[in-house]
Amino acid sequence: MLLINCPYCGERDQSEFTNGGEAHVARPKDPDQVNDREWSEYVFVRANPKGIYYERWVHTHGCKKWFNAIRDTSTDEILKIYKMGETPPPIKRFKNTLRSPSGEPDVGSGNFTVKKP
Amino acid sequence: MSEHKIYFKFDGKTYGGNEGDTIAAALLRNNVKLVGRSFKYHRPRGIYTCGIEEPNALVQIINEHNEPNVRATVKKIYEGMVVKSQNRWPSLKRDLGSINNILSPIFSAGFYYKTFMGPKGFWKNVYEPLIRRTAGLGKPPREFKSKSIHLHHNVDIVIVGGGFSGLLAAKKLAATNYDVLLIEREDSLGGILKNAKKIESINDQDPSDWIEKTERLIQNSSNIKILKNTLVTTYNFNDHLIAVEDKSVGKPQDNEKPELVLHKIRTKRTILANGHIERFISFRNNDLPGVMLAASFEKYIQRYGVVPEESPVIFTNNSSTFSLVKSLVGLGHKPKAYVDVRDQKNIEKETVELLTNYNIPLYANSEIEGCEGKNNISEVSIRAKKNKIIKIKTSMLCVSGGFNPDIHLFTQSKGLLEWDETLLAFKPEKTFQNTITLGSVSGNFSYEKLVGEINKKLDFLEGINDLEIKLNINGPKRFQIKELWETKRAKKSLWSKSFIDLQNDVTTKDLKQAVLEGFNRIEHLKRFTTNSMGTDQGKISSINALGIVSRILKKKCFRSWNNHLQTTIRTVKFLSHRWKKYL
Repeated sequence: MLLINCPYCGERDQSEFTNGGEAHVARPKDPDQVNDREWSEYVFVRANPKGIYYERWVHTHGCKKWFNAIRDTSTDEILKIYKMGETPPPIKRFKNTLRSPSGEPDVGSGNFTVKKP
Repeated sequence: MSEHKIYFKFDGKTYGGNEGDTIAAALLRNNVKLVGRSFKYHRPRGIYTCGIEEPNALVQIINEHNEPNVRATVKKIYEGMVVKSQNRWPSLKRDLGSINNILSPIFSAGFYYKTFMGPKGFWKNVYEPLIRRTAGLGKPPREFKSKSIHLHHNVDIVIVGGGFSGLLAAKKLAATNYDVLLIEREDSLGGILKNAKKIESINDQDPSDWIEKTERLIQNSSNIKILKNTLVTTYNFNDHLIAVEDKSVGKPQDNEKPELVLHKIRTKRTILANGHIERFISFRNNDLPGVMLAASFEKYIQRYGVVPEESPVIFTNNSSTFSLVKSLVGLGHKPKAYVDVRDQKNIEKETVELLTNYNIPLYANSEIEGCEGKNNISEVSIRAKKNKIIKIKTSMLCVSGGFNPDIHLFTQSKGLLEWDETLLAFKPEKTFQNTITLGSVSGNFSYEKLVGEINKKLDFLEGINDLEIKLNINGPKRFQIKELWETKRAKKSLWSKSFIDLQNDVTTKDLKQAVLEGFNRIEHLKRFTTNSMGTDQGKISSINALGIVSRILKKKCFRSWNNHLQTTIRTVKFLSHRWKKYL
């Protein structure tokens, strides 16, 4: 269970929060004008990388406020938390260590080729 | 010792036990060795271990809830407790289901998958009800109304395990500014010091005096809290631990008070000092009542004051059984034989000396080929040098196949493991969280080096002093082991079985068959044979299964697997990456 530092309340257990998916996915300015493909990309397509990821969280059982986080999905380490409306820090600022728990390769789940880094 | 205080019933008969006895200890005190029937073949089964790793001695407690599959080696007795054996009809001694044992050649691995295919609807209406009646564990419990509560903790350091290393770590942290929680699974601190005669004296005191003194010191320091009867079950991200405290140890159920307390602990650092688990060796009929792990046998003597058998045969492939011999001869008993897989020149001179002094026959470079008996062992056969078979009459056999560091919590914390070729076991290599491993869980089986290890690993903490301790160790100082997973059978018979998973009745032959049928990935093999899928999760056997399978694979598919499998050990290592999450 993660420990998440809510920018309004402080450190709380993960069980108090809800994940809101990828952050900074821009809604098309004029939804009536986009075609189905562009609309479905906005609704469904997400980056889902193995590594550093922008995402949204909401403190459901607390202040109920939304905020953004930068998390390394391979280690579940939360690298930065910032409020809604703040400029997202560039991803380059964080070192992508890709240190995954069971020594998996950089890409894929590693079900077949388990090798230590 | 003869003062019986607590009376309980097992299968309708009343027995007496001492306060603090587990069901298993009390039954052994009354010389009851047959306690259950096995899952598939309904073979007679006895008490194999003395702790949470128990695969065989599962019983049903008849109370308000009818708790099934309770480990007799863990549950403590109370006055008026009613215990029943499981999976037998009409009685434990005469079980009709044991016809499965006679038919066993057709019930090999995958029998159910291949046989009960059709016709349509038969599975649900005919086969399943039929199989369910004969196979399985206890009867379902009645409705369970939990009165359990949960508590939250926020501390600086958690020490998991109040054994020797846990106590030393706690002693080091006493009277510092750290907020510490010491968690112990059993009802008293001390661990190995209480279970075995491995250490003669600490600082010129008896180990039990030292434990008492240290416990008092820990209790008097305001920064350490001790939780007993508490088992840490989960190690989550960000050093979040879940522990279950049993409040009803040695007491009947109370309808008003909570019987269990769930502790949710958030900590900054976790010290794992949860020790090791002994494993067995597969040989013919290695499941008969009367076969027991050597360290468990000694634990019954030292912790519970029960001598399950005064002259057992000891079978070992490592140096740890010295203390068992010492415990037995200390009480005036004498093992019938000491069978060691290692060569005479590799056996420590302390062991050889002790055996010669007490005139105990030593069979070096030998192994147990198998054992005979109906509801209990009556005879073991030893394959001595030059394939000579020697038969010895005995009613108990103590087996030691080495030790696995108890790495379950460490793997849950996502740490990486490595295979140690001298210990023949997995040990922690790299931590993923703020974890520190101490003692045998870190692969350090030497008591001499323990204090140095603790001083070194806890050195970075503020305001702590160096520990200094004078130990007087019994027996060999270095742990030494020779690889052996399965012994060779003298005769080949369809009915002879050497088990690899005692709870799910998986034999070593099933492993071979699974490989033969193409299930040579360890996950597939696990599911095809149901190996280590019981409630004990293969704690005493899964490394053995890896060892056996890797040997088969090396022989049969060496060429195609060449990239991965250079040596047996590397195979174990390779396969275990997939297996270790089940450990």
